[in-house]
Amino acid sequence: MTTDLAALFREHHASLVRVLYRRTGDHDRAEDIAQETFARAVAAPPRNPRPWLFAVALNLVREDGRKAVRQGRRLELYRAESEQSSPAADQVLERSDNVRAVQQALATLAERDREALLLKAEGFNYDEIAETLGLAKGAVGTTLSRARRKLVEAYRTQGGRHVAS
Amino acid sequence: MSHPDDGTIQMLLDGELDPGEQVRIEAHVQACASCAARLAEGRAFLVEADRLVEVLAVPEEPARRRGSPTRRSVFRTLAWAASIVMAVGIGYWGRGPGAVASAPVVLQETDKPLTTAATPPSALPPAEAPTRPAADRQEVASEAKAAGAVGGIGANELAREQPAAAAAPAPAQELRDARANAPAAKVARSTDEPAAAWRVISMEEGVRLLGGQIRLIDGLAADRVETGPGTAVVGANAALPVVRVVYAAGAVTLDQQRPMPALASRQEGAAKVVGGAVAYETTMAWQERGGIRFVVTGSVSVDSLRALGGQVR
Repeated sequence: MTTDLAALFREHHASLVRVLYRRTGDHDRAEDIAQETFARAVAAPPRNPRPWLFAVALNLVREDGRKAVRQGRRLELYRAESEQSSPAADQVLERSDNVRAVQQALATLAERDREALLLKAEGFNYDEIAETLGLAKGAVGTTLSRARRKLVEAYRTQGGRHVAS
Repeated sequence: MSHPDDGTIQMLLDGELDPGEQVRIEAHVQACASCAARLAEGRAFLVEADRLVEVLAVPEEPARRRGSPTRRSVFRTLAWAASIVMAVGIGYWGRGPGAVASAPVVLQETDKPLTTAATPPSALPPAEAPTRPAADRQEVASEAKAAGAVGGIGANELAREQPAAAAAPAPAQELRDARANAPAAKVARSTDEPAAAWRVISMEEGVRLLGGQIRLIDGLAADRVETGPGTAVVGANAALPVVRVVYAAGAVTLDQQRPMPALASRQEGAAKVVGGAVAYETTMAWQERGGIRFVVTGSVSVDSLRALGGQVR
């Protein structure tokens, strides 16, 4: 199929950045990976853009994550230092604490469960989730069931509040 | 019937069961207290999980980016655009010389982008195995995985290392900001090149000055066309006017002249980077193709400039 790049960008960029941000917790990183993903889409226009874009982007996250692990100790030191030298952290909005709690809960999920959950939140149907993650369609329901349960339980375990309706 | 498994309950909640199966499962759930409880629990987890995910909203863009873009944000978008330009260029090169015939020009108002009517990126042939069937889910997934794992365009590298600039279909705010911060009309490419020497002209006048043909960078939307004296551009024929097509708010320009016969024979040949006159600015050697001499200059990397040069039609 042919792909109109501008339309592809308009249609999927925000959604892709949203999933990447939720997946990584880092807006700049999400933007960078989205950019890289679209650059690759230009180089090799996908036939089925939506699953392709998200699959490539999530692969890049994993690839990026492996690099990050190699620098993990340094990053941890930096983070600890940063938190110590930031008394203003006490004034961070309650919402930020909640965001952190959700991010931490999300991080307890298996990679595939987490990604299936995030794709579902973007309106992907089971076929699209299966195609993006390389799952059998029949496994998507089980994956989502497990992911939802684990997310909620992990959130509650760390004292997270029920999110108001 | 046997109790549905968790996956089936989830499919019911997500509306993913086919109608016949949905009726069957719903009938069972109504008659089975334990499955009704599982369904209710599953629904509660679904609702709460969705709300938790919604908490992770993408942070709003910092206010400064609307008025004064950060270096990082500008580079990111421009690098994105440059990546597209490079990829499109590669695609065109792959099509061979037969595909680079003259690109009809779409004339628009001066304050709107000028575009070529050449083949858009959408019509480019896929860079990999275009004839394979798309139906196989695993194949698509592995194809995507390969694209994610193998090199591709180094957009991130561009973003971090180069003040790349080019205008592709990226509608991002940063590019508009870059345009907004650009000189009002005329672009001076170096300190030796007074901006006042340049005036904005129509595409028709540019065509007339060049004797019936104007070169454009394929895949980029031009901001405007200008003309200036040949003395204002290094390497240009001083006796002839230069027609300049301005892209990306002046970050990239394509200067061109109708050559004198004697000059044309001397200047023919492949593009060669000859160095930058100003920091972050690179200029290619003048080329002559199809009766027009031209040179591409820009605040972009050597590789990007080569790609842009290859897209001049």
